[in-house]
Amino acid sequence: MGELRIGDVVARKSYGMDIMFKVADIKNDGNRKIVVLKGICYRIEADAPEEDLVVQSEQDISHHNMEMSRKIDRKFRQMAMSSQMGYQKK
Amino acid sequence: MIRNTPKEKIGKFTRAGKVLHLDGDKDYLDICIEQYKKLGIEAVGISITEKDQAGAVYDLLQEHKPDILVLTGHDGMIKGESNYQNIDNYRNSKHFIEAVKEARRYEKNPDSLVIFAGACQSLYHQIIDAGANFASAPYRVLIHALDPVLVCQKVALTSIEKVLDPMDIVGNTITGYKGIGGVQTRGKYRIGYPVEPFK
Repeated sequence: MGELRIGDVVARKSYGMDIMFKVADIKNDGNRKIVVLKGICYRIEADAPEEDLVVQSEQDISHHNMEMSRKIDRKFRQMAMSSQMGYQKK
Repeated sequence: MIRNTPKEKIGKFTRAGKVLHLDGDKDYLDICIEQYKKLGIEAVGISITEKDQAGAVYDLLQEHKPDILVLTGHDGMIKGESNYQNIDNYRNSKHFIEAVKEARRYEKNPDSLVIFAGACQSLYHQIIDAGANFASAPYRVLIHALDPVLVCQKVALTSIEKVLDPMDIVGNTITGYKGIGGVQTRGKYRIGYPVEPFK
């Protein structure tokens, strides 16, 4: 793995690569690098040691983003429908 | 005597709640603002880090006079900590709590100014106790970037005649009750009459 840079999109091995983060900051803690992460879909902030992170490929990211925006579109459509009918429903 | 009823159709106009959205993440702010636009909700977005929100919110409220205030960004429990009640175990919850208190100094009535505050895993009940109508995250789960927008949408587009049940609002978010909770809140949507006839 090359040098990690701010803005890279990564996932954490220790969490089974559950969610994707962007690198927000890289701090030096003695001889270890602590990476500050911010979720790209979730409002999460976390620290992780550099060796726990895997940089995600463009393909992974766009696949992930597509999946997510599909989910959201569905939610917003659902909401639009229920709010139109909201007045009759009780 | 019958009153003259005008022959032309007299229109009504509508006014949805206005949102002021403070966000610690510029990328998320842009996504949220785009979404407000799509929904036809007037929104002012300001990119400001979580820890600076408390210091800025009073003046921003005075300047923009919103109906709904969003205080968000990123948060998270500090790894390895298991005390869910200790505020020091959260990265940004204390900043959200401070900002809510500041906002309530400006407007204490929860139906005049509706407040959503919090991010992932935030210390829910303390944010509610500070005066927010809605907060995250009752079960300390991750919330989605757009969850605050979904809460605002419901409030901004519901008639002022109606008091919203928090269960309905929460059911409309992406994350659901594990991520968002709150108190009963009156809608912010008004219908006006008539529209003036002049083009």
